[in-house]
Amino acid sequence: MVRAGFYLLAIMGFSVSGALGADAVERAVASCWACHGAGAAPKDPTMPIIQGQQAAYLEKQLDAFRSGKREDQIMSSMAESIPARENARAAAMIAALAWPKVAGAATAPAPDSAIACQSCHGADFTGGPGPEGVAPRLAGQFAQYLEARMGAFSRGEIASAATMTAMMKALDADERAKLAKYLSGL
Amino acid sequence: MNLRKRLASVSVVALFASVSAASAIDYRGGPSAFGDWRTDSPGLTRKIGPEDVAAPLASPSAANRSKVVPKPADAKLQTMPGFKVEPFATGLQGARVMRFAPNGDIFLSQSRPDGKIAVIRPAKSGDKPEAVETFAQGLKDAYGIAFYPPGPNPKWVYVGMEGKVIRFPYKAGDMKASGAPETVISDLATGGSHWTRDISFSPDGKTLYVAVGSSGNVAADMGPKPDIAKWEKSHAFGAAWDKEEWRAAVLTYTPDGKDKKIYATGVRNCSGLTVQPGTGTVFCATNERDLLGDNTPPDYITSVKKGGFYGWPWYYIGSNEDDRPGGGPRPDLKGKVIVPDVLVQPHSAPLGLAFNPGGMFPAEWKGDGFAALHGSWNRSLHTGYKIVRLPAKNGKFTGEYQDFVMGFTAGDENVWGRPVGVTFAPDGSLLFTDDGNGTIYRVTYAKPQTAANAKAK
Repeated sequence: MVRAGFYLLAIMGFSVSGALGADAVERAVASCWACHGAGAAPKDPTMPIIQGQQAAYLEKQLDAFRSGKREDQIMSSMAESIPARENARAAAMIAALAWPKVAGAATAPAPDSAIACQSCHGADFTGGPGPEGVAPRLAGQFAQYLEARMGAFSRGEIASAATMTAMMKALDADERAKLAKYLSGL
Repeated sequence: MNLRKRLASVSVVALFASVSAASAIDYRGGPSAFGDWRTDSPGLTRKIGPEDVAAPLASPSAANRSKVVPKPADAKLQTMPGFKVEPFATGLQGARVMRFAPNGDIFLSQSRPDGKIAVIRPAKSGDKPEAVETFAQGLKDAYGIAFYPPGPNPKWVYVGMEGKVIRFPYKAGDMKASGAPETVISDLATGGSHWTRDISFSPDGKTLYVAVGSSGNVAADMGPKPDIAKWEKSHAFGAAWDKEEWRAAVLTYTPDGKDKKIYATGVRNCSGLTVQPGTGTVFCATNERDLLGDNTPPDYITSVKKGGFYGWPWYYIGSNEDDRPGGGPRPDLKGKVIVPDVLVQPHSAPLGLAFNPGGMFPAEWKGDGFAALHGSWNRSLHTGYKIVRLPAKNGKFTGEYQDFVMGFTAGDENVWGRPVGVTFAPDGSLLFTDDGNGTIYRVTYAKPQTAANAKAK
């Protein structure tokens, strides 16, 4: 169903492009939903929710995928299809959408470590400006995705935020899993 | 029998022949050659011609990332009659490229997550390892492997990594590196989405070929055009610039890393660089560009001509123009794009390529190519995830390819294997890697028992 919806979007986007001038950015953004879920959370919990994410964070990720700093062959092709000067507009279009609720995400008790996140990610974990650039929203994100990213930080694989590397190294895998579960249930 | 009766019986035979050929589909040519995993079948031959290439976005660009799952209980690999495919070694996370050392040891790159080179010594039976050792570790993105000098007594093992080529001292039988690596080439491009660096030596050992894939999908953000005449003089005909400088190309160096030159351009991502035994011809298995729809453009496997231009980013499969590259169009290159030898179903992602040296497979298959198709993401239904045979005549591919080992797809979303590297063992059996579940498989052949030769025994 998600896939069929995407086709419709894609077909509309492409056929409209000639006549009414739906531009490259709109077409590129329409192509996100095949994986990231159209009007709903993605089917695949390893795929992050991006609708309603912090715009500046999305912009930074698009740049990182484009340059290869954040590695993913698919995202690299996708990011490249957005003209560099239009990154901010694409990010704003995605950020303006409503954050979808993950069906069946259970609330979990807050581990002690959660307090440390709030200074950058906000009291309600919805993200915002922080000392190392904008911090992404964590509340309601897939636990599996959060856990994978926290693991990557702990192994020093993400060079962009030194604070995150240090904080995630300080937690063991079990503590990271608990934290991910809590954030996901918010 | 009078003439009319004889003619009638001939036509009935002919009718039967055509009916039986049509009922068991074993050949798909032209537009019918395109398809997804559901039309795969061991022995099925496909041929896609440049005239069959679908228009851009004839179907929408899909995103359908495969999910690698453990082998389902009822899953079974399929191959052609007389062949058997079985796991040779398991637990080899990130298994990518394999190369046989002259003494029969297998050198294997496990590119990710940590990056290492393993050495596997096959048991005498050939069907399982006798020993597995880590030759060297801490080599993130280690990919291509080559022994130097060519011949029975190499002194070095070269390893291609994203930004460099290194070499370890080697003598026959070493299963652990006896010394620290030396950096031979340090100026390979880094960043972007294509990190594999396959390497190979010319048979005379004088030339080291290094394949470097493009940074981006189609160089959409490449900067303004340089003075083309000057650029081509200092680089090569058809060379891209900016972040794509020295990329989407096959490069050559001397074995000590000097005298960098571009051998061929416009090859988007030659992940399988192979020098054909006997002829010394360079071959590339190449992944073409994304986001143009299910059946555009074909990936390809081809011999690569010195000084040849294969199209990327401005053209594909001949003079099909792409309007997405930054820096504007290149009408000067139109009509100068070499059409590759074998066009493969778009988005199949061919990676490894090896030539059959003979010794086990059917005699008429000697010299044929075998390629690993890693499998698609940019297609509505998955394609690839199999090993194909590329028939050759007098050392040249016919343009056809045949489904040889398949069955890694489990429904429309899951797969339980992603083939990468292909090589032939000294006994003539074929080995291939799967980086999805970290396995090496071995394919063997025994002539099938027909009713006739069973009776003769």
